[in-house]
Amino acid sequence: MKAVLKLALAAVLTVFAQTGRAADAALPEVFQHPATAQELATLLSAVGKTTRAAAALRGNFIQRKYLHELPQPLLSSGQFLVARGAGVDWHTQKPFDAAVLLTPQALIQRGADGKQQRVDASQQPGLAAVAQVFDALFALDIDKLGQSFTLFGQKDGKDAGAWLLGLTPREPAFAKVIARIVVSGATEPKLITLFEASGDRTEIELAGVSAQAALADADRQRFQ
Amino acid sequence: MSLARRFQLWSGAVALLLAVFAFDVVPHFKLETNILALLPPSETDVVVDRALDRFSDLLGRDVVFLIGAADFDSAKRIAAQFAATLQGSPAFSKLRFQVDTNYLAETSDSYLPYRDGLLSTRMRHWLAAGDDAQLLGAAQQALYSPAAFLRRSGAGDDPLNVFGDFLSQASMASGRLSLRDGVLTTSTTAPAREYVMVSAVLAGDAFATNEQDLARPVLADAIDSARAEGATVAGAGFILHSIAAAGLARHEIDLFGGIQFAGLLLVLWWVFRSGRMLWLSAATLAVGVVAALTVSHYVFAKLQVLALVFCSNLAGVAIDYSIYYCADQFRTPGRWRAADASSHIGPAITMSCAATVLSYALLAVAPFPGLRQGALFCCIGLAAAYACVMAWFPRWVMPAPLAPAQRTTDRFERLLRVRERIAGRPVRWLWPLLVLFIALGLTRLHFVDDIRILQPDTPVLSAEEEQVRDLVGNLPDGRFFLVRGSDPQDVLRKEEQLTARLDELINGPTHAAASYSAVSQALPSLARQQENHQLLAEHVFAGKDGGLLAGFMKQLGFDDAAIAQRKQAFAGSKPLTPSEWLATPASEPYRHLWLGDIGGSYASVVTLADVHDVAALQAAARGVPGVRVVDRVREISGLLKRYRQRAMVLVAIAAFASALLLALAYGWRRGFRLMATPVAACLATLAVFGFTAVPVTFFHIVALHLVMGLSMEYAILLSIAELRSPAVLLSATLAAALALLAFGLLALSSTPFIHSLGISVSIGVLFGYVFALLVGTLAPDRSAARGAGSR
Repeated sequence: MKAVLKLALAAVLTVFAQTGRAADAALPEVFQHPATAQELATLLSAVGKTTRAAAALRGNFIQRKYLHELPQPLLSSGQFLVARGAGVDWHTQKPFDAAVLLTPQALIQRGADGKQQRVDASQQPGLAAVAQVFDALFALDIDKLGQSFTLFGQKDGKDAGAWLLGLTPREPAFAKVIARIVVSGATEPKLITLFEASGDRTEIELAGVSAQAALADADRQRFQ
Repeated sequence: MSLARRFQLWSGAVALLLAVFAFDVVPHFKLETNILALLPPSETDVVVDRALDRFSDLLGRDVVFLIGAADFDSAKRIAAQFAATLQGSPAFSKLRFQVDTNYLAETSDSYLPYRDGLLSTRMRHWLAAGDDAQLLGAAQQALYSPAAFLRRSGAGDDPLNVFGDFLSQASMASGRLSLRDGVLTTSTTAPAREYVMVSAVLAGDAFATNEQDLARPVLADAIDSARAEGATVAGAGFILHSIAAAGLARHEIDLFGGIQFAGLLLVLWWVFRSGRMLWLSAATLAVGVVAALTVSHYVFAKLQVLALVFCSNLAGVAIDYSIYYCADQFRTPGRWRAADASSHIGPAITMSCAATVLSYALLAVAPFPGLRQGALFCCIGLAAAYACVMAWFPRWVMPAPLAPAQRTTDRFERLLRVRERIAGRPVRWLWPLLVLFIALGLTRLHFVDDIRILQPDTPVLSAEEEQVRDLVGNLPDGRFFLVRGSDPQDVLRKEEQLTARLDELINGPTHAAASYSAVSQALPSLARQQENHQLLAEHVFAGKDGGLLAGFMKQLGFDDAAIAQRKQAFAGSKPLTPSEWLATPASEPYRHLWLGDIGGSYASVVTLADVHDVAALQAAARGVPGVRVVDRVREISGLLKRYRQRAMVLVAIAAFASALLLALAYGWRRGFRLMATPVAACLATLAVFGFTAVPVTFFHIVALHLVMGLSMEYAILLSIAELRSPAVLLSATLAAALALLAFGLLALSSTPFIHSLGISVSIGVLFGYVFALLVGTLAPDRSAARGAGSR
């Protein structure tokens, strides 16, 4: 049984894989401002109740992935749907058409040819954790984020009501993959930046985010 | 041989025996509690069996606990204390609580020098089929998806995620655990509980008694203090079962042994009014047990715990000899000398001992290790007890005072007359009725040969284990594949053939199993590595338009220098051999599956999780030479069935052999008629099981041997006309009562097979006694003049 558990352990760690190379990017200023969950709630007061209480959030994204080996970022864009508790539907339209459905149970990939590839969460348990982090990130669920991350926050000078949220993983193994996360926004999250421990960086710019009080049946079905 | 000479010789022998026992047996005595060691080695392949035993032994050493509490912090705190308690004990060699976060990085580093011969199954298929679109699609997903940071290799270093995909496969997961705050956890919503896992590896064999003795107090301490703090503790592992089984057996032996002993003392004192008789009987039993233990120790090295169950058989029968001898005094109360009995009742005791020993000796023919031990144990013990009675009793037994002896005699004289009125007036209608009863009962008989009859019923433990299995996820099934080959590479190639079929079955319509674990997933054969290298060389690093890699990297925006650099790195690759792989941390999750050299050939195990379609898996194994499905549970059940059938034949043979022995002593006609009682008792016992719908197992049949032996004693005592006296009626009655006491208690055991023994013997003894009473006395054959029982 030991070996089986070792396997399970390996899979859990998979999430937090990649050997750590220190991030080159200078530490964003927000990480000099530790905050409690309560302070953040005040800071993020501009975020409407509709967003926080939403059953689902949908919108468009532009993703810029900065590999430390490449001078220019890898660009992609498309639409997303975050269904709270159910999962994330990540539909990339450019530069290729592909969709990823990430649920606590499985990762289902669908390519342009319509072929599906399914990876069960029981075979790669980290998936479930990722689905949950995304869930909390998009809905700005501070309490939930506080369980997995140390929290930082400050006002973003430019606009009234604008804020910066900084997150560093509590889990040492998680920190080996994701060094820190910065989210900025005002009435809703606008830019999410994932600083990977390898030195790579992913920026996700959100636009046209709309909150839905209930998940449409057609969408619910997709997450089953 | 004179009585005096007999006395001296035997006393000398016993002194020697006690010396040997005290100075050589006791210090080296070993008890085997692994119930599976009772079973014969599978007759086909000793080498494989040994390897599989080693595999089971390794699995048997692991024990997993889930510490549950309402909130995560309490669960973790209590789990930490729990782990610390176990850590401090020498019973456990390894403990896992805090997770080693370097493990994955170490695995990646181990594989890095060999990466150019390593491909995941799906990548290999895509490359071999020229399905570039799938491969590129997967590579894009690994770069662009929101879960992209899950990939195992750097995006710039391995743009197509070829190495990363292999690493994911090699450390493919099973289970529902997740990592939180440095420990493995899982949770349930109803009731809302957070669980933290603690796992440990036993320092020694889970079935060895000294390991159990070491582990038991530590586990109890850890579990009790965790529960005292309000946490739940659920565990899974063989050690927990064997500790429970051993504890239960010990408790039952203590309890039943105690009651039996007290009952025995009481009855004997009441009848014989002699402290000396009690001491002598106890000494007789003790010498019998010591002799049996000593001989078993030298013959078998390790004594099975089942042999100790036979201890009660031994006690049940051996005490009879003392009773028969001493009860002879009621033949002539007041005038009896102990030496008189030797010639009067001695031959009958000799006969019944000979017949019982013969029946046990036949039992030893069956190649069941536990039975052999039990049979030898009883043969030696009975013979020694018999010798004690015949050597010591004539000199040492004191008759009871006249008054109570006369009262007892009178009482049994009256009973004897009652018995003779009933038996003398032939109850002819009874016998056809009995035949009908037996015939009807036997037609309703059904048999069960399930391994579960060997294990004590511990519902709490089983429920806990089930819970752990559910919470942790895909723990391996009891059924697995054994792969054998002439050398390590042969084993790996066969595994690859097998896993190709398994991949189809798992994704097929019946979902034959949820997943499997095989060494070849993490260590491809050299031939496979060669193929992989070729595929990479022809399609990825070169080929159409400079190869897939160059095209993809260009698309991503890498410059030519970066592409050339990556291509250059490919040239130098070396093959990964089993010995190198086994020395890396990457092999750790798989090491137990690699059985290695098993005496001339090599072997490995492929485990399965969540098996749905055994037939399909069997078919998959048939297609690959050297591969077979191992299903220990089914194999053991099959063996139990074969040995049940064999034991039934042996009972029949023993009946026939005993009849011959009796015929030799008492004449043909009388010998066979004497045998009618034990045979009828055995058949009627079976008939009762038929009517009550109790499934008959191997152990019921074994119990019939004992039924036959005891019933034969009663038949000899009660049916030999020359022995007719209140004394023999008393003997048989006492013996039957004490046997009922002993085996009735065993019937209360929670270990199914001990229960089976107890219930069978109790019913059988009752039948044997009643039938022997009813048959009446048998006069000597007119033809046979020599009767061992006549004077």
